[in-house]
Amino acid sequence: MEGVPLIGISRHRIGVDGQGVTTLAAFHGCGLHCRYCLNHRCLESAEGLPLYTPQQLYNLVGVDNLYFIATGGGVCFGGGEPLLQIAFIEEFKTLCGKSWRLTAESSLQVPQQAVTAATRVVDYFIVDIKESNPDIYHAYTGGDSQRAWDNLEHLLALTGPERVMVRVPLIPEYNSEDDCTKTVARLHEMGVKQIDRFTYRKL
Amino acid sequence: MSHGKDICNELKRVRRSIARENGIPFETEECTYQGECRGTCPRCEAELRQLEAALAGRLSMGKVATVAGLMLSLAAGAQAQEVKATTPQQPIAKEMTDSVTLKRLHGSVLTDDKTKEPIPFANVTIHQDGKLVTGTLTDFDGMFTLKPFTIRPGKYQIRVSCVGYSTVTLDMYTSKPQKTVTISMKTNALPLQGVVVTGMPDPYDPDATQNMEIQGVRVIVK
Repeated sequence: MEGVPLIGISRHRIGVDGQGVTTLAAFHGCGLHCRYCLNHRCLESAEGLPLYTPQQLYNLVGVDNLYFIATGGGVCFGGGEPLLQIAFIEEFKTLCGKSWRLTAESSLQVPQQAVTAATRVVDYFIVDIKESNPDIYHAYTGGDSQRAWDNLEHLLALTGPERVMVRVPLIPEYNSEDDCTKTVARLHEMGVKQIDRFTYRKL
Repeated sequence: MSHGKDICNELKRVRRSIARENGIPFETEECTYQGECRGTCPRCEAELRQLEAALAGRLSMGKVATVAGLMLSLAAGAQAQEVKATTPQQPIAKEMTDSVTLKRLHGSVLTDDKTKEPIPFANVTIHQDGKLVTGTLTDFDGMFTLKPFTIRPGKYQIRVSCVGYSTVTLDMYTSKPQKTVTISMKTNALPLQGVVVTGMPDPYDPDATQNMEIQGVRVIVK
């Protein structure tokens, strides 16, 4: 397949992007425009970004193969929105097999088929659901929360709760503690067991 | 202690544990670098490569190299997987009414150039209908043995992948069972070191990659 643009690769992430020693590969491109986006580069032009094929990325991150196998770690795909590059992840999985644990950090703002496909190759999902109130969600991200929540329900139906962790941020100037509590309650109703509730802070 | 030093210590602990589990002498000098630790350095990378070579040596002597099951103290709740270096792909057991069991398959994986150098630690896997059936790793001499496996009669694939080489996939047929197979791999043009990256952090410059993490405003409060 053709190479796809990556905005960054970060080695030796421990306790941040899933189990074990993990390398983060961040894709360019995202369907949302979050006010406090961590990686603005993913929304700017892809011009100048390096293109990687799955084989090239596999070769690059393979220097940590021993760490991955020893600690049950592997590669975390982030971004940007990694599930927009599901074909890349599928091909990468054929290269690394089961030896490496694959994690995806996703907002689930993708076609449902991409979620379905991801459940076959991604071992663990970190879902950035953000907010359950559709008005707040739209104000902060510019996107439609219904799609994300529908996809979360679809994901849970296919994987069960053990492979899914959902992030619920308190977003200054956008939502409140009460809003977060409502979001967490809705997640509990859906059967989500792993929830990361935290606060965005301006530095 | 800096975050980079925490990572450095944790990775060193992993290396030491692998060495201990496999009876490999592992002596490391205490790091005296006073500057900001980047989590890894040329000396740490060299230790990792030496460990890989020592493990390959064990495999070449027919010994099992155990590299899985280590816990990380920084990653709370981490559950290491039971994966042996000699059998990274666990067979998928299936009940099949129409199936055939193929005998042990021996093989070798070599470079495709004139030297025909053996390629150690290559992933060798068997697939059918897009699903993994079984797999193993090559030893230090590029040799592998796949235990007997059961699949549906017809076509299946043997796939070999290894860092630094283009993945090779060959069609095989149960009607023509093979006892041995030799697979040649082409080196991949992408170098592992010295990748020129424009507009993004160098993945091997921990300073740059750390910056990538903190350029936003996210702070986790549990």
